[in-house]
Amino acid sequence: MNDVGTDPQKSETSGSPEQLGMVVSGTLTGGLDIRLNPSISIEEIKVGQYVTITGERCRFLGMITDIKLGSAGPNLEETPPDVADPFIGKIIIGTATYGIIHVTPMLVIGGEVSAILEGPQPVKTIPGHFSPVLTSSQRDIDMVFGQEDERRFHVGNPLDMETKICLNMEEFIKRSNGVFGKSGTGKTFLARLLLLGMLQKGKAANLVFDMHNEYGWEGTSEGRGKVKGLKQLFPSRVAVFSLDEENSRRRGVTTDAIIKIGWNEVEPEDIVLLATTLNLTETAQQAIYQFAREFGDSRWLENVINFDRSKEEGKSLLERLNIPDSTFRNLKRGIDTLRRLPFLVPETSANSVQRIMEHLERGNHVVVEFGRFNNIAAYMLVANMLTRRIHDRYRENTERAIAENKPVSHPLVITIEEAHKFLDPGVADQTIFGIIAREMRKYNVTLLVIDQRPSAIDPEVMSQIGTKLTCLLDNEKDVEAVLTGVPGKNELKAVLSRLETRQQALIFGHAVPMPVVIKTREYGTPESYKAFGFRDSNELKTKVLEDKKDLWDSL
Amino acid sequence: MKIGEVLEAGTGGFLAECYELYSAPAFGSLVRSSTGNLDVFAVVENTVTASREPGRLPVALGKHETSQEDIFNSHPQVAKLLRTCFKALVVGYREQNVIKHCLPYHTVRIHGFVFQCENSEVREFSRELDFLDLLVTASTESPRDELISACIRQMSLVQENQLEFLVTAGKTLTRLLLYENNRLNYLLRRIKP
Ligand SMILES: Nc1ncnc2c1ncn2[C@@H]1O[C@H](COP(=O)(O)OP(=O)(O)OP(=O)(O)O)[C@@H](O)[C@H]1O
Ligand SMILES: [Mg+2]
Repeated sequence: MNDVGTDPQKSETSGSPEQLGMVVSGTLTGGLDIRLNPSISIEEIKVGQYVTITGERCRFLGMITDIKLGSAGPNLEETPPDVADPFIGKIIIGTATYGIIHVTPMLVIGGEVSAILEGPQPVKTIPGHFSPVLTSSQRDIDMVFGQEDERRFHVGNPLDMETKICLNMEEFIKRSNGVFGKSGTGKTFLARLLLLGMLQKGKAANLVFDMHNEYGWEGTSEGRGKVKGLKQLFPSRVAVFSLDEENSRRRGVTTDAIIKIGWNEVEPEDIVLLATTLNLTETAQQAIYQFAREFGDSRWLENVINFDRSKEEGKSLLERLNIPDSTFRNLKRGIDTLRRLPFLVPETSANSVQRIMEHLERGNHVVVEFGRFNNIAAYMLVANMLTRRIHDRYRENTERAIAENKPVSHPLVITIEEAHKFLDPGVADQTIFGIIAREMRKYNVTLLVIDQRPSAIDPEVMSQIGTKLTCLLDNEKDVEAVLTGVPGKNELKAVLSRLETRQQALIFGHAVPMPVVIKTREYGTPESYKAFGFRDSNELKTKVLEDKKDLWDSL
Repeated sequence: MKIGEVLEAGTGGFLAECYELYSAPAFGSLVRSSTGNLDVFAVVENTVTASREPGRLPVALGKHETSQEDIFNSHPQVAKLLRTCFKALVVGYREQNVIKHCLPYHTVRIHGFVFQCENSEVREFSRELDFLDLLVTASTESPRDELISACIRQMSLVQENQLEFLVTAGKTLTRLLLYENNRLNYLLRRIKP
């Protein structure tokens, strides 16, 4: 009789699990239908929430993936009762009409011997009729995701719960991973958290190609001004390399080095990869290789740039190489676009690759800032060039370490935004990024790809991505691309397309025992920095004073 | 409160005569009698006040009287010729302090006393509402749905939380009458406070 006058406060998940309803039908493959208790308002229920179902022998953890209205009477729709009357409404709702939630069982978390001994197990059966269904308790969630420790990093909280969802960073970096979501949904914020996690718990060095200058130094938060970058939080563990010295200086960034790229360092492949961006025709691409054969890999660019068509020898060269004039002009136009980039210089002694390697080998993160040169051509050129060379180094190091039976160095994660540019089906088998994604972590290098158009990424690369963290996606093709090959795809689709427009993400794949929707951990408040272990200068000063005092006291 | 005696007993109901003329319990209220071993509960469903002798109708007497009471004062024997009887539908019984909402195996006794239930007894009986199941399918002399709504309203009067009781009764009716939408809608309107 207590379904009257439900206290609205009660429904706010205040920690203790709430009885939601009972199982009324279902299948192992299709999920369970749960009839809601009349005291629960259907509008409190959200897809993505967790429930715990107590069967006769096992306890199941499942995710709400759909919500429906049910009605018991056959002709209720035709002669609906006068529910506008509050009294009659109160009677009808929950008796003749009721809510049904559809739950996809994810794991067995108790009951079975194996689940007790070895932790959560895959679901091989379903709970019986009328098994009670409760909102999951903090303990249930902790049992599955584990608590924050030296390997697990807190990335967010499940919907409407205080519990922390932690990612095992060591597992995480064993594969390439992806952060997806349409524009403005929180990809960058989430990726920044993951970088912090890798720094603190994953023991992985990270090379970040920071197209929009958001990771190293200050990033912006819509409506809330600036947020700190990684370098500001952990100056000794993060190096910022800039391609735009002036811009970095103006923004007050403490840079560790300025990147310059010599013409001699640009290999034909580096340009061929940019063919689409630079509008290079097929024949112009061939012309690059012809130049390279003629002048060598390190001098071809200089020769294209300095080529003077008005001179007789120039003309005869093109004739000899059998390059039509129009082709050459197409090539030249493309190259000129790059030439305008000030970091591309005829010659340089700054061995950027070597310097980046030094930081990475110490297990530190390196953020490459693009300053004002955040056009896609510059970004791709630099990311490709640096990654190719650094990957080569890692390959050598790893092979040497294996041959000499020594421990391999820190794993390396390479982070790229606008990943589809590097990984679209047309170029994915040529770019270094496609190679890294496919070779798994043979050489201890994996990717963190960040993209708003996952459907533009080569499906084969997508299938190699271990853990996917995806914020809201509303394009059908993108949703499809992200979920291809994932068990329970249709149910997750419903969840994914109903995420909040920002700061919520669905995580699934290698590093999580089951799919989970999180509210991404807050980033940008002083408390949030503190929680990462950051101390501002005032605090440090008092700490030093305290330490001194302790020293005096102990004397 | 003792109000009368059983004149005719059946499994589904009984007929009782009131000790006082016109003093039958209200339509839909709960009364109690006994099989000898069990207390039997019933709902008053039809009350008739008529001549004691079947087939002999009273005659009109008041042509020269000014008030209705004067008729009885001038003809004191008239009241003796009339009686008030009511029919009650059995809705449950009590055996060793446990209330069951179903029909007992035996009927109540002829000349068994009939009591109007105390408020506390009504509350105890109506803690569960399974007896409504008997009422919604009963065959009655007065309109059945009127009886159901009267019974629910009568019972609600003695509850601690009247609204809560009415909502719960409404929910029970909803479950019982899922396939009789019009009837349900009518009943819900009738029990609305
Ligand atoms: N974890 C978080 N903590 C605090 N604010 C957040 C968080 N996640 C998202 N936001 C808010 O959402 C805004 C958009 O997030 P973000 O810049 O990460 O989106 P994005 O997906 O990278 O967008 P774009 O595609 O334009 O790069 C941020 O400016 C910030 O205000
Ligand atoms: Mg972004």
